[in-house]
Amino acid sequence: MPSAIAARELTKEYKGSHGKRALDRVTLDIQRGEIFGLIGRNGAGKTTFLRIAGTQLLPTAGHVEVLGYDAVSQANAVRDRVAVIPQESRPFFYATPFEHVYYYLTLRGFPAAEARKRALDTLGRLGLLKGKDTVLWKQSGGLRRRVLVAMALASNAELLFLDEPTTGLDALARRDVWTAVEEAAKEGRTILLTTHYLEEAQLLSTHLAILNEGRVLAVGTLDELVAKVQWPFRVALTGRGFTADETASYGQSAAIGDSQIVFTTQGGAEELTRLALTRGVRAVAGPVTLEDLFVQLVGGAVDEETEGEEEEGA
Amino acid sequence: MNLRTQLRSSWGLIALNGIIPVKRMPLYLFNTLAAPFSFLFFIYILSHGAGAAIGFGVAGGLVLTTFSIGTSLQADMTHFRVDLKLQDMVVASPMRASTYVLGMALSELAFAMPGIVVFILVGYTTRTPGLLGLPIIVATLLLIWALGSSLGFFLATYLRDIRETFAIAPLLSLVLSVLPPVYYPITSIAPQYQWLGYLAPTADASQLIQGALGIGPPLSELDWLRAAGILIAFTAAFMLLAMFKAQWREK
Repeated sequence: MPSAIAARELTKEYKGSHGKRALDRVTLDIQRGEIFGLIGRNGAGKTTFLRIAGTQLLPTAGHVEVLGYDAVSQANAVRDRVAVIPQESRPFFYATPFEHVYYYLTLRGFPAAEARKRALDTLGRLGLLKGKDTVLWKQSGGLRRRVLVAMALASNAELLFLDEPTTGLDALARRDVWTAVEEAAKEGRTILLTTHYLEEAQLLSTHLAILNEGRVLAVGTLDELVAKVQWPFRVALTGRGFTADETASYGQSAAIGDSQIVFTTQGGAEELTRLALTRGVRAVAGPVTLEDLFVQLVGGAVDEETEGEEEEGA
Repeated sequence: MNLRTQLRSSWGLIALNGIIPVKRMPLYLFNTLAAPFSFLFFIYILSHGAGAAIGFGVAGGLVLTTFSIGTSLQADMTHFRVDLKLQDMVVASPMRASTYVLGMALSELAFAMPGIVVFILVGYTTRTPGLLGLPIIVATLLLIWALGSSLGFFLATYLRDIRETFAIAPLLSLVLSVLPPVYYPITSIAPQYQWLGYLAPTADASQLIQGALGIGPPLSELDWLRAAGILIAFTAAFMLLAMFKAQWREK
């Protein structure tokens, strides 16, 4: 069975971008039935990738197959099998949550009875049944966002593109969305998720890709990504007891008020923790989080670019 | 998607963009009806209620109301694409561009239909059209609806912001509804410039409706054929433009 998404050397250069590539020879494989997290800074190319794979945007070069179909030449075959929640999308302020989901399913071709059943079922899963018949101008921004997520989840699409689906949601509403997304994956659907919440990407994604300046910096499971960084452990030290030079000798350190966060090796973390105990400093040690990884990988890439630019300018 | 499924899909848009907003905010209707009824009001006052003048107001009102479906469609589609991102959701779905345009164009009828019905009633109250009057009027309005919708869709796929539609909609109304002989007979233009009037498909549509209502100078067979031919040609051209040059998928 072919991959859910297979991108080869995918490149996008927008008109008038003066040679700057939004995507630069991106090669990625996303397997069926997984939740794949695409993370990166603003302008990293996440949405561009998603829009090309979702058949809304044409690439400049390269090739992408979605569910075994070419996203450019067989776009309609792809469109029959996918659903998208675009970044910053908004619902109709004058319609109710039920009307949104029901009519979205209608326009996807569902018969009335099935559309109704699916709409009610999905609204229930996302905790939206209570206000299902209240127009959205009377409801919160978070609820409006959840309605959009419900529209995509209610469809029978094999592949869902969710572009920052939980932006603006409170913690509880986000959890409702996470549960619904996980349930969709358990049903065998593939989900391509972009998010700024690294905790969300870490929690939901089976595989992750970090994009920066249109290029793939790293791909893999969280463990595989951790193995790629120089400092796979973090130690958070609270209280005075270590000088900056001392912590820097263990790896990479950053001071925040009275606390210090040190990224280091496993041996370094063990030694630093022992030392902290002898000095009466509180220490919390463990493997790096996705956020730490992101800072190390993307921060490193930005540093390298800056150095490169300085050398060019010199 | 077969035809039945396509019609069902269109129904989703008709409900979301037509029936629901009209039902919840009937004031929306004034947006479509204000201009044509204002013109009719002024014509009535200035002509002291003369039947022929009102007939021109009715013919112009029918054309303007139906053509305004296109300008409204242009604004709605731009709003859906740029602000709501609905077009992205639709592109990445089994719904095809043709079904989307059909659904959106039909949804705009919800706003225009009350005006169209009132103008036809006024036309039939003040004039006595022949047997073929109503079929000619309906066929002409269908062509104007298709023409305006195609033009609206084509433009909406290129506009970058809803504000751009604020400039384009009045311009289209001016160039295609107010300046050309839509509200007045083409014979009011000096003969050497009358060909300019025929170049506006809305003027040809109005001439057909004027003929059907029996107002203005009687139309010869050639006049009927020329007006219908130009209107059909423009409609076909705009439909082709929408089919082949509109940006359904961005480049």
